[in-house]
Formats: sequence, C-alpha cells, structure tokens
Amino acid sequence: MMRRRNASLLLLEMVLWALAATFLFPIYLLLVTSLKTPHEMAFSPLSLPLHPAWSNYLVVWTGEGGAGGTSLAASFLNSVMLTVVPVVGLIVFGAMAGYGIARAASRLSGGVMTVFTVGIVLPFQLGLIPLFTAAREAGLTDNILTLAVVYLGILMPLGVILYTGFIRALPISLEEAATVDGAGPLRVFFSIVLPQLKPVTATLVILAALAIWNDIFLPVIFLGGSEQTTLPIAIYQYKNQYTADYQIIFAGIVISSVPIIALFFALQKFFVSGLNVYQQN
Amino acid sequence: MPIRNKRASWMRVQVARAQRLRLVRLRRSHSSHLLAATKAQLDMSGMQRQSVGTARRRGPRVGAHRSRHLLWFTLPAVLLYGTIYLIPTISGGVYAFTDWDGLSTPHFTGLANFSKIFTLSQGREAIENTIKLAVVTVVIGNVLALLLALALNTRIRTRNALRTICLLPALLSTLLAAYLWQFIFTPDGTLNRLLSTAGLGGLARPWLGDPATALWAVAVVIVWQSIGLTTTIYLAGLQAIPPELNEAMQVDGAPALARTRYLTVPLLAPSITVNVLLGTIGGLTTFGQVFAMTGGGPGYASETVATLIYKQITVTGRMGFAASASLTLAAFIFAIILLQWHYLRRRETAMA
Repeated sequence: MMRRRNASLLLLEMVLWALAATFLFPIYLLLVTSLKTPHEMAFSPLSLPLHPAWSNYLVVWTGEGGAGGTSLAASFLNSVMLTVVPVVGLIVFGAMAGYGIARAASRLSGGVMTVFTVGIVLPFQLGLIPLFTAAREAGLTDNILTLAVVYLGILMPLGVILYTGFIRALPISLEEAATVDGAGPLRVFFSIVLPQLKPVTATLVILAALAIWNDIFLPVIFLGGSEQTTLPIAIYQYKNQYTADYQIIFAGIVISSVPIIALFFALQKFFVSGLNVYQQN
Repeated sequence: MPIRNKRASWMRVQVARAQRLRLVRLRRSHSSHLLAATKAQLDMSGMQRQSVGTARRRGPRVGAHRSRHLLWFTLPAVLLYGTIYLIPTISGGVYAFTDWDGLSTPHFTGLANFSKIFTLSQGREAIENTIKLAVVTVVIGNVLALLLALALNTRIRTRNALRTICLLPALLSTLLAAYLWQFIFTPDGTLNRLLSTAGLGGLARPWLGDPATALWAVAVVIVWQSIGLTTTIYLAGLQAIPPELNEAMQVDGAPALARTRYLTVPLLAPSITVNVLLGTIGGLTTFGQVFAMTGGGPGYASETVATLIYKQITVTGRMGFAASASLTLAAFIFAIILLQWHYLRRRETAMA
C-alpha cells in the first residue's frame, strides 16, 4: 500500500517536472538568446550559446556600441527611486492607517475601511485622465517624483487593507501596557506596533514593488517621451528603434528582472502567510 | 478650539493617571525601559497582577479616549488616497459626459460618448475582446491553477522548488514577458520553427498578425504569467484546511477523487472567490500584453478597452471619450464583482 502510494507520488512528480520544463521553456529561451550573436541566433536558435556573447549585456547597460544611446544604467536608478519612495510611504502611512482603523473603536473606522475597499475594486483608469491633465497643467509630468506619489495614492488601499487585517489579529495587551506606562499614541505606534508588522510588511513590499517595478501603463502616460525612463520603458524605446535585435532586448529584460526576482526570494517566506491575511478580508 | 481644550484636558488626565500607575509599578520593578516594562507586565507575580487588575478596570475609559485620537492616524493615507485616487475618479466620472479634449473648456454632451463607444467598430470590438479575454483567462487559468495546487499540496519531495518555478513568470514585467512571447509567436519565431521541425509546418502562421489567433496568443501570455499567483493563493487556501477532515473521510473509505470533489474544493470557496475576482479585474484591464505584442491589431482584432483608453489619451487627446470608456469599464467591473460576490459568497456559506 505504502509502496504503491510512493510510486504514484513519484509519477506525479515526474509529470509535474515535465510540465515545469514546458512552462519554463520561454525563460530558457530568454537566457540563451540574451547570450547569442546574431549569427548563432539565426542558425541554432534553441541550443545553448557556444560562445556566450556577454557583450550583449554591456551594450544594453552602457548604451554604447550601436544601441542608439539607450542605456539601462540611467533608467535603473530611476526605477529604484520610483519603487523605493512609494513603498516606504506605503509602509509608514499604510501601517498608521491600519493601526487607526484596527484600534479605533469608533463607528467611523468601518466607514474609512469601506472607502479604502472601494479603491481595490474600482479601476484607476477613470481617475487617471483628470489626474494626468492636472499634473500636466501644474508642470509636474515627466517627473519621477510625481509618478512616485501617484503610485503611493493608487496602492494605498492595498497597504491599508493588508495592515488593518494584520493589526486586528495582533494582541492588544502590549499596546495597552505601553499606554498605561505613559507612552503616547505615536510612541506606542512606532515602538510597539511597527516592529510587530514585519511579515505583513514583507508581503506588501513584494506586491507593491512588483506592481511598480514592472508597470508600464503609468510611466508611458506620465513620463511620455521624456528623458526620464524606467527600465521597462527604456527597453520599450529600444525595441521601437531596433525591432529585430532580440539578443540585446533580452539581455535588457534579464537585467531589469534580476533585482525584483532577488527581492522576491529574499522575502518569499513571508509571502504566503501574508496572502492569507489578504484573503480573509 | 474648545475641542482642542477638551483634548488637552483628556491628555492631562491620562498622563497623570499613567504617571500614578507607573510610579506604583516602578516601586515593584526596577526596569524603566518601556519594552522591558511591558514584557514584565506579561509574566508577572501575583502581586503585580493585582496592579494590572486596576489598570484593566480603568481600561475602557482609557480605550475610549484613545480610540477617538487613533482615527487621526488614518489622515495621511486618506489625504493621499483622496487627492490621487478618489477625487480624480469622481471628476473623471463627470468628464465622461463631456467633449473635453484636455485643453479647452469641456462642453456637456450627455450620453454621446457612451453611444459612440458602442457604435464605433473600434469600441465594439474592444469591449467584445475584453470580455472574451477575461472569461477565457479566468476559466482556463483557474482550472489549471487548481489542479496544480492540488498536485503541489501532496507530499512530493520537490514541491517547494516547483512552487517557486510556478511564480517565476509572475515576476516579469508584462511588457517584457510580452516581448519574450512575441519572439516565440513571430512568423519566423520559435513556435513556427518548432512546428515545421515536427512536420507540422502546415499549422505555422503569423500568430500575432492573424486576426483569428492574435487575441488567443495574448490569452496564452496572460495565463502563463498569472498562473503562479493563482496557484499560490489556492495553495494558501489548501493549507488552511485542517488535515483531520481529510483523514476522517479517508477512514470512512472515501476515494481521493471524492474527497477532493466534496471536501477540498468546497472548502476552497474563499480562495476561489479571491482568484476569480482578481482574475476578472486583471482580465478586464488587460493592457501590457496587447500594447507590446499586437498594439491592438491586426485591425482591432486584439484591441482591449484599456488600450483603447490609452490611445484616446495619448494619440487623439479625446479625454471625454476616454473617460466615458473608463467609466463604462469601471461600471462593468463593479457590476461583475457585485454579481460574483453575491453568487460566490452564497456558495461559500452554503458549502461551509
């Protein structure tokens, strides 16, 4: 009985790995193509690169050597700024709001929560047009910081809902004890509540950083044709100029994906538990 | 001003009370550090427990006082969310009824924009395509993800590696994933080469340039990218099911398939709700894949409402029209969410 069970598990495992190989084939294609010369691409597109052309990475990073001046180095910094600023803001303001909603026993807190929940449901495209034209009139478009604040506002419902759910499940006794000890609400929040929020913060960081780092809709609208580009937009512009240079484009895709994948693996262990909090709301 | 005074006096009362309590406690414990003190309070002797007793009795008043102030903590979030999200969304709803071009004064045009969405062939096709994409990706994506999650919830040794592999495509930008698949789908791309190697050259076609396949090529990419998160949500839901239930049914002699059908899947209802809702919203707002792979073409064969809105904003500058398309999309999403919520929630309670 036990042996038959193990055999069927082994069979299942083999089937799953076969599926995984198919599923990952595009990623394999991405990696090998990013290391090929145009010649190798034409004659052995699927094989491993015989003479890895690391120069593809150099070309797309520096923008030299026929890449039309598009350098990922500059947009890399923009992407980092554009991701870090709203994520930090989300952690501070989102956790504060979550604390307020979860711990205030007033009837208003339910209303505030509902207002944020509406934000999860409504697509932001509707507000995008007035927001964009207002920013354009104020001369705030083509500016990384403007876009960072826009992300902060748009992702706020996600942050507030995650934090509210998590804080509601925390025992209140530590906070009560600190209050009794004379700590004000701010002190209680920063030295008692905030340190307990690491798991849900990790989940929020993954979800928000992924959404911002990989987004193209808002950057193409708010940054338009300006010099300020994010990584995906730089690759988009490059692709528009050199449609067929897939080996260079793919090297760019690898470069721009590695940081976010690394962040994901660093925080992965918190991710599933955090998702459960999200589902319960 | 009076509110301020009232608050200040509350503050004074609270500080005085806290100081009194603190003095009492300090006599018993030498620690003055906040955290150490609170920890000490958690594991204390009988004597000290008494002092907490008094604090508890005062608790409701302290709590009631605190709660009023705590709502101020939501202020920065509410302000940011209000100015960037809520207010523009409301004014967007107003612009939807105007001929606004983003520069000159808008004129009220009633429902003209809305009827235009449904009479323009571009608008009609966009709506049709968006619905098709959402339905197909949600159904296929959820069935596959559910099967995968069930398979990955067994005791196979490499399950963690497989779970991670599942999520890998979700980490790529939609634009970049779309470029990757464009490379596969182009006329002289990987797929057609593989087909001709396998002797199926007759099936080869320009997948993205053929009106019959362009939309479905986009759907493939969406499922490829979204299946990881969908599976992860199902796995999280599966892990929340107490194993005793399954074991009990096993003892009763229920075969694995029956256990899955009558126990696991019904108990997964909350995860199904979340996944179907997230998938529907994602499918109805599909932008990146179309933007990168087909640009909405050939013709309008893969145009979606989101790419239509984008084109109206950036190319033609018809903001009023774009707003009405957004409002239509928003209303549609809202209606579907309410429907699904109602239906799936009812199933959840019926089955749980």
